[in-house]
Amino acid sequence: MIRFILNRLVTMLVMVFALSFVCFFIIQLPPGDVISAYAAELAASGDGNVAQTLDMLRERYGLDQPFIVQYFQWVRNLLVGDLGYSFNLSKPVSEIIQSRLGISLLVESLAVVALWGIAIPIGIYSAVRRYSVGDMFATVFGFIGLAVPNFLFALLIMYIIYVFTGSATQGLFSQEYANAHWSIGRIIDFLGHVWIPVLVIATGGAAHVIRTLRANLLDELHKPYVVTARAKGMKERDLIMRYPVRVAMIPLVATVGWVLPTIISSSIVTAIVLNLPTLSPILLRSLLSQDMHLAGALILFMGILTLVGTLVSDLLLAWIDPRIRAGMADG
Amino acid sequence: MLRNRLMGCAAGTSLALLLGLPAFAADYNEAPDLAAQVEAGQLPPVAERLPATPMTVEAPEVGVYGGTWRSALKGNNDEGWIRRSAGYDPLVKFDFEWNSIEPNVAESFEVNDEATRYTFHLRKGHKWSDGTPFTSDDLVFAIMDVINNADYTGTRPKALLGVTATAPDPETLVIEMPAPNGMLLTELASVNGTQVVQFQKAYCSQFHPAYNPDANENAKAAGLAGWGEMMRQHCGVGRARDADRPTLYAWDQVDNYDGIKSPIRFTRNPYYFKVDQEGNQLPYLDDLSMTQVEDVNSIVLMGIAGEIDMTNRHIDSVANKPVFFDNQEKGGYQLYSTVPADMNTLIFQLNLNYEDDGFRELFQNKDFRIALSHGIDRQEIIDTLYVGLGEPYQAAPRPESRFYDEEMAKQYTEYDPDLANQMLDDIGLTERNGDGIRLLPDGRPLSIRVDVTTDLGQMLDILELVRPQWKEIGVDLDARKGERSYVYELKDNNRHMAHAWKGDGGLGDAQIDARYYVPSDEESAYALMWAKNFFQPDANDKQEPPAAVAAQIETYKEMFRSPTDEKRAELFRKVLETAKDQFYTIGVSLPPLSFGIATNEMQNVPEKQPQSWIYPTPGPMNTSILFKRQ
Repeated sequence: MIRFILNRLVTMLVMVFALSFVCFFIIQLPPGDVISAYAAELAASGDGNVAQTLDMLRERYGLDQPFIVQYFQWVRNLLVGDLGYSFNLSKPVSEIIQSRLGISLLVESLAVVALWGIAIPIGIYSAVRRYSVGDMFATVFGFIGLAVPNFLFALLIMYIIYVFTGSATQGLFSQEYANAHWSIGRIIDFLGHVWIPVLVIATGGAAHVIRTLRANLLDELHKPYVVTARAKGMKERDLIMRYPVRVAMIPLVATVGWVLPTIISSSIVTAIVLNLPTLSPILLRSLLSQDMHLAGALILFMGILTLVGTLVSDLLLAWIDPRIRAGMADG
Repeated sequence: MLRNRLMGCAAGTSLALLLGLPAFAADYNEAPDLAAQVEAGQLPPVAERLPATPMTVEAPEVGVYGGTWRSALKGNNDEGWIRRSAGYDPLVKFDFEWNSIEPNVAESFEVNDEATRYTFHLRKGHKWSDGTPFTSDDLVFAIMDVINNADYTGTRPKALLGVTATAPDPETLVIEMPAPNGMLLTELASVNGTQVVQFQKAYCSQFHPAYNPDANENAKAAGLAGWGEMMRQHCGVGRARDADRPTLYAWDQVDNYDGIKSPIRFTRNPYYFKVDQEGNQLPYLDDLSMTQVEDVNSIVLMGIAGEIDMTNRHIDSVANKPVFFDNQEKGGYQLYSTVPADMNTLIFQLNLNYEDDGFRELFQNKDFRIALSHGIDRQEIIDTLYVGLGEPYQAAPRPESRFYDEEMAKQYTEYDPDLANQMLDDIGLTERNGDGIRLLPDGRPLSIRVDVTTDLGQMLDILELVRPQWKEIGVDLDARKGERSYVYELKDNNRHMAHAWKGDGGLGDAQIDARYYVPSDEESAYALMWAKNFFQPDANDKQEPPAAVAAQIETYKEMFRSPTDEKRAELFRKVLETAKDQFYTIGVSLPPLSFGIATNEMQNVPEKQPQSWIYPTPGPMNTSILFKRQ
């Protein structure tokens, strides 16, 4: 087991390097750089008066260097913990990520908890009471959640709130709490806002979980060991929860690792529509403005989170499923 | 009542004279919270905070103190709105109608006959928001040490480059121009002019290596490339992010605008130099609060919910107007009109300097451009996209402008596909391929790729309507929507075949933003290489324009050198004559009146104010006279 984990960690290191190259390459693909994006932005606001300073900035940021030189500079800085500087936000990248990581994590964790909290019971119910009215309802509900784009759902909720209350609900805080320190009032204010993105993100993913769980559970429910256990008089509820559900969860657990990177990426459009102060809008902004260091750090960070998440799901799988555990021991 | 007030003034004056105090001192009123601070000994009395002769602003309605102006910023680079709403207090300012220039921070000014020497007289006793004196030394620092320093990376008023600024005494600033320049006042009053009064020497010199030997080191330690950038971040316009910087403006920034924090708050500057007609120190409003949003629709939503007290920024599109109109009563706000400085909804710019010989030759043929112009059914576009508002229009000053020329505005705008076809046949483009698209002499189809940026949405809609119209005259229009930096990268490197943008330069900005009338600007995308003769004369890749264009550029240069407004207007009319004759670009339609929104509480909201970048709406109205009815 230890060997397995060590093995995985070494592979991960190699993967991170490959990732860093790919993401730096992709960010550099579009013509232009952060300076030209900045110039275009200024021109759009009508301020086209900066040509004389652009070349100078470019030189100072090393943007006139060949790609490979820029890449190695970037990696060297990463290795000593310097994530670089965001031209667009005019601050160190680490500061930006720090300032929003907590809140992103909080929103996404709540969303994931809500998603699984809603979807798993529904999935189990749908399988056990197949073709019941409840199952039909859950299915329809789930597919609507899947079919309606998240941003549209977010807009719809905002619109409904506006129609009923006449106020524009967006962001995670009211004006008076936005820049304040945490307090009871701020937490209440936060809870009053956060349910919208949580609901939007959760409904968007619910159908997938419901259907996967339902299908897997249906496969299990009629297997001989279930029939045997039932024949021996085991209580139906314990029976289902202890064995078939555990097996049916495997595909879900296998993908739990993908939840981690969604801290940054899952809800970009939702976050923008709802004006959430999370990392997602910053990622989009940095990509649009070709703010390499910021975009690079965020994408690499997402990549690393995926790798870590995969490792976590592997370990969870091993814990859930003895067959996998056995496989690891061999390897 | 009036009589009483007059007598009060007279009494105050004589008393003030006796005590050696500034005139009217006894009559000034101030906001209650400031009065309380004076009472508590935290602030000097209002008469000592104001300059000896404060600037008197005639408010349409005398206001009451208090309230917060709520508005929104889009993303983290929207300083434009801060400059417009809170930061338009240059040395000299545009008047409301955008017809003339009047004193502002400078109490008066003189220009010599050659337009080489400008003298500005500041107000005695004018103070920064931290209570320290504001003197001409601050201005010399801004002009000589910062704006004219090649290491400074911020934007700068072009007219100030290469000048010599001196301060013979603390209230006088003299600017000597290297060559005659009649446009200095206009530049100073325009949106970039504010930076002259934005650098408090005491605070900003800490970022300058001449005053602080560690300035460069400090900048590098902060992750920046050099002091010039540090200066821009802390003191410059366009990236005014530092809330600690003292200011002359009506409101003083409280939060750093760092792209992370929201809302950005501003609070009343107790030393602001303006009073209303009754001697009440401005501003009336206590605070500003700007919420940073990621998406324009958030601003729209806040607007219809009545959570924005006044703005027109980002939201004043035709598409949004019905939404705002319908929700007025519910949201408790109203629409007001603005007059856009844009003279066109879209300007087609065929690249006359395009690298491809075949297309370039064709584009340079004026008859070809005329034929394309006749091939556009402008009325259909106006009816479809602008609910019938607007009129067919070329790149020409708006009817409200003193440079309006009906012939220039209307030439070749009638829809006449037969004539267009005839003209294209006459040019020799008679061969067509199977799709009915004309072929170039070398056999390639006549397909014109136009790059438009994604963020001015309606431009692509216009192009989509033009596409079938041009198909009828055998021209293929290949409209490509691109992210803005991509489109600009193409344009800046002269790799664009055609470019489309809105029609800047329709009102008072025509003379200094003449991009469509004479190749003169980075934005003159139809002839960037010719324009470089004006804006970048030492560029290696500039191209020699035809004689008529070269002469026009010379006339335009001469305009800048001319000292009097009449002479400059006369020369500019000559520039426009050539533009009419050259017909560089193809316009579509005149943009209709635009709009802004203001809550019902907000008072003194300007109606029919010009709307543009150079005239930074609503700044020139004196936003300090806005107030909220309690």
